[in-house]
Amino acid sequence: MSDLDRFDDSVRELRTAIFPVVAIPSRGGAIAGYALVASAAVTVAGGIVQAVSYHFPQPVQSSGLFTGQLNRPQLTAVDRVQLLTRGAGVFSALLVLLGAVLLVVASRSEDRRDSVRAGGLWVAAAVAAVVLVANTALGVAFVADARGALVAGAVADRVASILALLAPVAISAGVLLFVVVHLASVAAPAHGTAGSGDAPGATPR
Amino acid sequence: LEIDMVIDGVARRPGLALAGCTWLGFAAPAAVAVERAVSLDGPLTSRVSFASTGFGGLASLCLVVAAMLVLLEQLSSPVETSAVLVLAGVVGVSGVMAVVMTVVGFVVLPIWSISTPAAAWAEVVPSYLGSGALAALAAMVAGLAMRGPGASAGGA
Repeated sequence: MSDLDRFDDSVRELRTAIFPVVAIPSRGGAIAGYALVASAAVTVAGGIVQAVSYHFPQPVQSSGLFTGQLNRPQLTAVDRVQLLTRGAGVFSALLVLLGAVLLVVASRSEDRRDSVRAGGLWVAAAVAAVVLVANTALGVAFVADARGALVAGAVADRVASILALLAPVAISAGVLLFVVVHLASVAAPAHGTAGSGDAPGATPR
Repeated sequence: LEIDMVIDGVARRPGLALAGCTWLGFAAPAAVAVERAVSLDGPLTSRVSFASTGFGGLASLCLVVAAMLVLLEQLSSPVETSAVLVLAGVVGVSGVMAVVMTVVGFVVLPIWSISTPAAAWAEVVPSYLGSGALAALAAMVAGLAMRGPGASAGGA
């Protein structure tokens, strides 16, 4: 082994990430994790569909002399993002958090390279990324004093609206970090963990 | 160098970072409710009652999840780190605060206030009793995490 390899191993030992390992039924925990991630994905997908397809109902003026259609207000891009965050909100972030944690916690050392579980974690990361991007974009729009029929009230109380967006942004960012670090540590070769004195479940980053 | 150490620490304990982020999921709606209550016109009782709405619902659920994540982190590592203890303390104090706000806002204040109809009060009490129970659970779990790995392993 060259000096460079030894240095590489010592650096990996220093950067071991610790993941929780709990004695729960692996299969049951994984199924619950998949169900939670799937429900979060469906909720976010519903928000995406609503953001793309929603339009205000056509207002109709009806009186004794005139019956006709009025111009309906147009949705701006910020309104569409606001509609998206109805699906991609704090509840979806919490669902995907619980799903990702269950998938990681229920994994055993022998099946860490399980591609199905990795797929579930990638879906969780994608859902968290949508929640993060949508809520961050809405926050930026509030700061930029964006106009829209659906966001007028929120822009008026800007500080509270931005504070409220902090919850889904923080949770989804945490989930994204958790999943990415876990997948990166699974992908890395397992040098330096055996006998290194780390906790059970410690894997190199 | 300090930024590198923070980034390296976060990458080493991603579960702890996740617990901190989840606690923010509690703190953000609570801060929104308090901020709106401060800017509200009206008597102190209605302001406190309005502020207490931010501590219920999903906020208390986030607090329970954060407490359980901290406990999992405590159980995962035999090495006791100050970050885990600090976060457990923050979550525990938040849990106690949420219990107090829930009790004050939805049990004590409506009894004092003659303007709150009993029927309206009875409608909201069950959901906020649930939120108060979740906050109490969060405080208990965080207290377990604060006592260290030995106590957590024995008590969990």
